Amino acid sequence: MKDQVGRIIPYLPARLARAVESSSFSKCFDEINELRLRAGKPTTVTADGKNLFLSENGGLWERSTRPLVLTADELRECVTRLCGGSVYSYYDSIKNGYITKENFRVGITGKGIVTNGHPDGFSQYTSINIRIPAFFKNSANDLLSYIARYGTENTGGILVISPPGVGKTTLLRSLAYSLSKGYTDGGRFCIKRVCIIDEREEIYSAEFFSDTICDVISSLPKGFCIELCTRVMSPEIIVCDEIGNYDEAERIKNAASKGVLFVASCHGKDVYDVIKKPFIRELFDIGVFSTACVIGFSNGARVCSIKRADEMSHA
Amino acid sequence: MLKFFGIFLVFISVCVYGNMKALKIKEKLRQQDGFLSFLKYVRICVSTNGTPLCDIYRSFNNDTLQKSGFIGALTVTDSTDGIRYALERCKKSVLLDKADVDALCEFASAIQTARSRDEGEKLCDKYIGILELNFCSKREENEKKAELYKKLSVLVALSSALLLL
Repeated sequence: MKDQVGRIIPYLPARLARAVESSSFSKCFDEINELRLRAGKPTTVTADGKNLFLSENGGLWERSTRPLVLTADELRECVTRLCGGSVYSYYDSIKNGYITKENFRVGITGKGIVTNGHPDGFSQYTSINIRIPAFFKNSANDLLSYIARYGTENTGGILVISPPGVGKTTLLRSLAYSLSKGYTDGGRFCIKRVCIIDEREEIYSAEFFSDTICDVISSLPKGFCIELCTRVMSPEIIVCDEIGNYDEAERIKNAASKGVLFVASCHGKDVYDVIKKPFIRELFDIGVFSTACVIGFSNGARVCSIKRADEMSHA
Repeated sequence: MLKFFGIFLVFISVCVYGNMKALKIKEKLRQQDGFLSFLKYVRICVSTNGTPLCDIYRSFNNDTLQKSGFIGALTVTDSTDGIRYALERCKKSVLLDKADVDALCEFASAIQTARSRDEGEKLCDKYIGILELNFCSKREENEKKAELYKKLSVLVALSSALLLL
C-alpha cells in the first residue's frame, strides 16, 4: 500500500503532495483507502472506513482543525496532471466521472456541461476522490477455502456484494489472481483460463498478474467485452466488476449459457438488498450465480460471509 | 606579398560573414516551417485518435527541429508542459521571434486543458493560424534580406579590397 500512495504523489497539487510526503502522514499509509480533494473545503482521507481531516503538515484528525483546503485551480491542476497534460485524451472517461491512472480510480465531480441533451464533462471540478488500490494476494482466502471445499462445479457463479468502498474490487482482483495462478478446486489443483473484463481499468495490473495466465479486456463497455471475450478467448471464468443494468445482465446470461462461469460484483448491503434488482434476481434464478459473498465490517474488522443460492431461496 | 594576403583575408572574412547571416535567416525560415508542421501534426493526432501529448511529441520527427535540439528536449522531458520546456532549453538554437515563441508557449498551456478532441482541434487551428500569419508576413522580407546579405557581403568585400589596394 505504501508504494501505491507514493505512486500518486506526482499527480497531486504541490501543497497536498507535501502533506502526503510528510512523516506524520506516511505512518498511516497502510490504512488509507481514499484521498478526497475538495475545492474550498477540507481535504479528507478515508482510512479503514473512517473520515479523517488532513492538515497542511500531513496530520490526520477526526475533527476539522486547520484542515488543508485546496482551491478550484489546484483541483484543475491535479486533473491535468492525472491526464498526463492531455485532458482531451481522457474525454470519454471524464464524461463518465472518472479517470484511471496506474490502477488508481479517480472519481471526479463538479459543474457539469450538457451538450445536445447529453452530459459532456465538467466546466469546473469541485471534488476529486482518489481511491488507493489494494494489491493483496490473500484477500479472497475465505472464498478460496470455500471453493477448495465444494469445488467450482458446486459453487457455480459467484456474486460479491458490498457497499461502496468496502473491498469488492480488491477481493475480485485477488480471486482472479488465484484462479489464474493455481488453486484447489474441490480437492484438486486447478488453473483456469480467466478473462478479466476491466471497463474502468481498476482490477487488472500487469505487474500484479505477471505470473498468471489471465487475459484482460479493458476500457470498453462491459457488455460488449463479455460477448467479445466469450467469442474469441474461450474463457472458463470471466471476472467483472459491478453489474449495473439489464443489458450487462443479458450479456452475462448469454455467456453463461455457453458454459462460462462468472465472478462479478454488485453494490448492496446484503443478498436480500441486491436481489431486489430484478436483473440480479433473474441471474440467481436461472443459476448464473449460485453463491453470494457478502463483505462487511464486524467489530471494525472486514468479514466475508458466503451463502449458497438455495440457502437464501426464502427471500 | 603580405599586403595581398591581408587583403585576401579581409575579402574572405567579409564574404563569409555575409553568407553566415544569410544562412541563419534561411535556417530561421526552415525552423518556421518545421514548427508549423509540428502544430499540424499535433492537430492530426489530437483530432483522429486523441493521442496523449507525450506520445505525439515522441512520434514527431523533423530534421530541422531535430538539428536545433528542440525534438530532443521535447522527448526527453516528462513534464506535461513539454513545448515550453524544450523552447526554454533550446533558447539559443531556436531562431524564432519572441512573439512566435510566446504563441507556442501559450499553445502548450492551452492544449493541455482542452476538454475534448474538438476543443483541441480548434486550439491547434487557432495557433496554426496565428503562426502562419506571423511567418507569412515576414517571409518575403526575410528571403530578400538573405539575398541582400549575400550580395552586400561580396560588394563590401570587393570595395574593401580595392580600397586597401
